[in-house]
Amino acid sequence: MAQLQRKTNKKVKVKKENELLGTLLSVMGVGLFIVLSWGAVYLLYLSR
Amino acid sequence: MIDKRDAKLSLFFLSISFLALFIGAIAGLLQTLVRSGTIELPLSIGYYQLLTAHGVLLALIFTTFFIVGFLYAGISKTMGALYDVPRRTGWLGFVMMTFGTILATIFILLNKATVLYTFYAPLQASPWFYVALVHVVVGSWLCAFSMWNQYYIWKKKTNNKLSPLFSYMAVMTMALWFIATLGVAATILLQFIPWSIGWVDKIDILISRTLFWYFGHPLVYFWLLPAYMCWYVVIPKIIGGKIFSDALARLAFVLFLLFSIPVGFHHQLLEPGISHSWKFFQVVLTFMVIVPSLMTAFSMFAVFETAGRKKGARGLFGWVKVLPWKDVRFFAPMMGMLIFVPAGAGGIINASHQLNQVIHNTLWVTGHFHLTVASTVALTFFGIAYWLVPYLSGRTLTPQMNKLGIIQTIMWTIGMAFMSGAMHVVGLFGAPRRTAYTTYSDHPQALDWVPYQAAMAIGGTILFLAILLLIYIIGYLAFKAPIGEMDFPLGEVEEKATSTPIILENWKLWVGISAALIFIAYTLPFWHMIEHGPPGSPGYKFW
Repeated sequence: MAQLQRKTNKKVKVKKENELLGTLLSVMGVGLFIVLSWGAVYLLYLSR
Repeated sequence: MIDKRDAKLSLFFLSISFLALFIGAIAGLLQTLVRSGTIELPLSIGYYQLLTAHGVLLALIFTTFFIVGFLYAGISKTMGALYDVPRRTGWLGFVMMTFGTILATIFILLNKATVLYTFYAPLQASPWFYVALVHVVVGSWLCAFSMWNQYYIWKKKTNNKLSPLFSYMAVMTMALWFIATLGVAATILLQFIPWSIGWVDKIDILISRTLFWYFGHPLVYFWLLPAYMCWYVVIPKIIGGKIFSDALARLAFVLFLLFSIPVGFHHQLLEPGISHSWKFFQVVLTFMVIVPSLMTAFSMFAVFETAGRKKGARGLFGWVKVLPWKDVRFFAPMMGMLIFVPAGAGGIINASHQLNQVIHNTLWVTGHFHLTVASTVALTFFGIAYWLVPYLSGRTLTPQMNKLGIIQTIMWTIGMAFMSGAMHVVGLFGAPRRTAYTTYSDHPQALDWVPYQAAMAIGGTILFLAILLLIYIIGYLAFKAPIGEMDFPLGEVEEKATSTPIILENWKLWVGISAALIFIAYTLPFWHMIEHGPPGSPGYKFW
């Protein structure tokens, strides 16, 4: 049973990696950086 | 190895490119030292003269010559040796561009064209400076015609087969360049030359600036697209991966063609004489470029992750570790890609109507384009040169030169972090761009800028040393490296990728849509400028 569970976990892990999760998070990170930078300068604009 | 005659043509373009880079870099070093108050120039040399030399030789000449040389090499590699007419036209283009470059440089060094690289009216240069620019532009058009001709003949000979991705991108890059330079050619031929010769007394400044920025923004994409070509086509091969999707890459290039041209007003957000609604419209179109930019980011991350997984990388970001960080052909463009993240964020800030008021005409803007063209583009071009120069000269990239290339890339990144970082910060404090050293009679606010200007000089000095190292490496690779065969890295497309829709190669459609967008974005505001034209201005020479 435990062996079967390990196999299932492994399958899930491989599937997730194939789905380019790292890529998705990286692009989201780029987007977040852009939004935060924009927000910071916008706050500066409001303060002036 | 490509046909030797094509390699020679490409090498000639690259040679002028690196010569311009060296001279422009000397001007850049002196500028940062003057701006920080470290040195004073002899009376015979002006700060703005250096600024003009730096901008023209680096932003216009280094980039354009490098791009044309790179594209010729890639076209010859992917579509076969250049046919006679395209090759001859290419040489004619080279001669015209080189003549224009030499003429422009002479007039800048004679202090008769100190008008900066944007040559804004009413600053007036010698007519020969504008004639020189015409030669550079028309010469580059000849190169564009030559590449399109090669593509046309190739398509005919292969019964309209899908073109190789590199060549498709080269054709698109030159299409963007041609459409964009129509604006700058119009202002030079119809406004600047008659005005500088004295055939007309006055110039319409708003129209000249509008035509310049019609060209000026897609110019950025003319620099970026060849860098993207390296990222999309070359990098996958170097890292042992495959191109994520041929269709996605072509679509991204189509979108760059459509959305990088009708957007010049976002450089003129504080320009009177253009209504807010048209500025807003062009800002919206500007933001559309974010789509192909993020598509590119996605594609590159996907290539990295897929290649890493194939090499056995585990975990969410385990693939980052297995990238070939010690291979300068990857490392230099990768640094360029990483720097493009803050560069792109800065670009969105610049193009936002209100935020532009915070940074307009400050050193922030200078810092921004030193991240885009002088880091993202330049580092990618350096990365290309490290394998392209030995490839074209029949030599090899030695491990020692590879190591020096890594050091050069690190020096460039550190130098730019100092210089561009300081420019961004002090720009937010209000320090103006395009200004020689001054403390404004020791005004407290201006004195606050001085430490940042010193940081700019430190960064500029590191960058200059990096240029010296680059020139040494390139010289070694061209003339001294061991004879041998290098690879021209060209990636293959993933087997699982969807096939490329033929519509992506329908040039009439995409150029037609591009023209339509340009007409929509420019016709009415341009008409308003003519209808409500100001009296115009005589020329001024402040140097």
